[in-house]
Amino acid sequence: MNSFSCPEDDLLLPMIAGETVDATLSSHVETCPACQRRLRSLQSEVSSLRWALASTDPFEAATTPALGAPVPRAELAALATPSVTLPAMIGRYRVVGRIGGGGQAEVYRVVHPTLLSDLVCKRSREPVDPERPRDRLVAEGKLLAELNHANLARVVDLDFDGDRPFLVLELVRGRNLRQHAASRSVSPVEGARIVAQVARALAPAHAVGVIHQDIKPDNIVIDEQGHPRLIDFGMALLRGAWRVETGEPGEIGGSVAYMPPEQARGENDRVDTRSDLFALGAVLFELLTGKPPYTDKDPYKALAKAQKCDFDMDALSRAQVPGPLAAICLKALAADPAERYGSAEDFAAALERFATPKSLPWWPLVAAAAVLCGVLIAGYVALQPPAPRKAKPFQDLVHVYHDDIRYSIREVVSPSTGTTVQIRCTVPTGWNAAIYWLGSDGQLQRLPTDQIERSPTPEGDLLLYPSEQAVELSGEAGTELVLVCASPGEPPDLPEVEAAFRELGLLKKWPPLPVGSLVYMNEDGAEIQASDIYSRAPGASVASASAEVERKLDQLRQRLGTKSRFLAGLALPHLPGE
Amino acid sequence: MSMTLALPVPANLPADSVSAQPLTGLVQRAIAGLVQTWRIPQPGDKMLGMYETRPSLLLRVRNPDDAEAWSEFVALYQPLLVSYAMRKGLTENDAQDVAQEILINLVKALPKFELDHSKGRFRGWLWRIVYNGVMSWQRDRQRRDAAEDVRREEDLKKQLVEDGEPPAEWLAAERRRILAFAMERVRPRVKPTQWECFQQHLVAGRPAAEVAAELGITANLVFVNASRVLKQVREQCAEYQEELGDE
Repeated sequence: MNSFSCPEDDLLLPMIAGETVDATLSSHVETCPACQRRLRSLQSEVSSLRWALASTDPFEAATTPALGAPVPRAELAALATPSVTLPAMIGRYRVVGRIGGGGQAEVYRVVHPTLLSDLVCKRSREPVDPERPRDRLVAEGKLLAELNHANLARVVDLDFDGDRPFLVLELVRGRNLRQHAASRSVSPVEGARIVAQVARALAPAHAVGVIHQDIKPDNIVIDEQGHPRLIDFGMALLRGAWRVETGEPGEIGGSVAYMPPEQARGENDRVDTRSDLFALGAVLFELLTGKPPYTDKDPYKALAKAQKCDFDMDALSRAQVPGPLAAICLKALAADPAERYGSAEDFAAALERFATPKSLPWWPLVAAAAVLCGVLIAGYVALQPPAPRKAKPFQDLVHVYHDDIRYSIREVVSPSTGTTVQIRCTVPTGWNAAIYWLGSDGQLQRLPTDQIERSPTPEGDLLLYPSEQAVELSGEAGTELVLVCASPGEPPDLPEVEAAFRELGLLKKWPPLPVGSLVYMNEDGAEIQASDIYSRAPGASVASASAEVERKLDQLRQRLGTKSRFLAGLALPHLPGE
Repeated sequence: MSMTLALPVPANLPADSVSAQPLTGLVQRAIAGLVQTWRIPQPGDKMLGMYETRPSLLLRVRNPDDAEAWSEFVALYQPLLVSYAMRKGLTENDAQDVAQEILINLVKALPKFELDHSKGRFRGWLWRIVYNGVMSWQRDRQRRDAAEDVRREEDLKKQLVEDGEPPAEWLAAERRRILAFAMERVRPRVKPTQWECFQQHLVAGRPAAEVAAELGITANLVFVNASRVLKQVREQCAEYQEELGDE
């Protein structure tokens, strides 16, 4: 029987489907061990296929339809589901996924063929303009690749995939500025610092004549170290490779919400480095006011406004943006490029002057008074230029709320009666903390622990008092003192702290601090600083009050501080209410 | 269960069978593939699985220049990675992200993976990369999310595996994906009528006579067509180191 040649699969298939077959065939198969094995194998294969297709989710365990039983057509959906289609390679880069795609380019995650580094590849949707020589594109790519700044995402490569140009860029992990600003309130000082750093990153590019042309919050990434990085340099280049200007909004590269008027009008010969400064100014505007200059959903309306540089300047004052910063922002947003900052460095420098803590502005006056009168030497000595920056930063313990926006105490006018304030302090993770308040009336109290909210952060535990919302500053004008003590064990209790104050003769009203003066303390020392926004010089006698408060805080530090303790203090002026 | 892999080695090419010109890897492999397909079995040859005609995908994908292999690998595994990550509680967007991260890890690790021709070893290795990819991603997410309880990061670190075998759930899902994908790959290569015979009769279980009447062919031809497609699917599965039958 075995000499009879065994049937092919197509003759066995009817048997597994239970269909009637030729009797000679079935009698052979029944007695042939090889055919029996083959039959079992085919049965198993068909069952496997049915099992595989019985559900669209591979992790969904579905019952396998019995052999011979029909499978409803709908359950064959898995077959119809197309697999992802990605280009396998772009140039020599291996593609691992699609990130998204803007109007001009498809964006992919790619891996470098030999270095295996993670990169981003942006491939133009359009073929390169045949009128435009590739050499020129490559030359511009070279310029881009040479740019190297800590706040810039590097351009790694520019090449062609067939006739489509593509750019390979460093992958910056983090959140873009839009997400960053949505998740936490960005104070004016922080906003100024971020924009200043981006302006610094722009400078070397502008120096070689490369313009970004699409600066917006989505193109600024706050990386995992917290540094802003400008990404997508060179997209203008890809656009320029094929763009035909017609003046229609769809044809205009960049985002209308941040667009300088010359770019919105399609006056390409007028677009230069100062166009980037306008867009960056628009980013600052959004950080300060919560909205970009042009917010119309209808792109034609937005474009019409952008062409006229018609945006709501008053938003800055409504948002209580400090005057000097508002002025910087509006200068960058000037309709006429000639009225903007001359360079990215100038813009950055103006922002840095605003954002950097100033040395005491009243020294010159104090010094002059001291020389003239020959008095107040002690106060003057105390006001020597600050010692080199201490290793451990002072904390701005008191924050002020205006219209639900939180500002650090440095960024606002000194609080007055009725100002809403909140205490914020970061202490070592897990340490027990007590917050003391010496009011302007000379009364010392420990703030109720159950109203202090604690949340862990990478830097330590953030303490908030009160937890829910800010409280109004009440009572008389004078000097207010906040003192935070923390320790791995028990922090000093009220009797101990009260005793320290009493022994040092500090349990009384402290001398009133001049407007804008802040006196900080931590385990390392105490220091007088001025609020960022003050330039008004107080009289000499009040300056001596600052020095006196500094001495008092230093005494407290020496009395209460031990090696295993965390201390933070801040004395601030409380002005009379209106 | 393990299976032998057909590994055509370019080195077994007779030196004079190709021109003296230096060849690119791709051409070399193409020739190697041809030679292997058409080579007459010699006495003493290792017994190869009967349906292995091409080097396995795993072998090809290790070559950084083989664009086609990588594309196929991504198409095969990416949906599985996304399903797996979603099963681990990620949203679809997050699952897409984590799938990218895992694929990047695979690009980097594949050339270093030592082929020892055992399917089980590759399956375990792949699963560990996938599992650790999902776990690390969740850990990073929590680190970014400062409000999360920091202790959980430690818990998650402990969950990473260096060893261990993939759970049955993963193996079943992977097999299911490979089978479905093999069918997807075969479908465009066969005539629509052949495909209908295979799908309607073999997979959907409709009587051959019914399918034959619909297509205007004989029932015998339905079986012939179905078995031809089945053979191709079987060969395609072998390329992915999966046996179609599980006996």
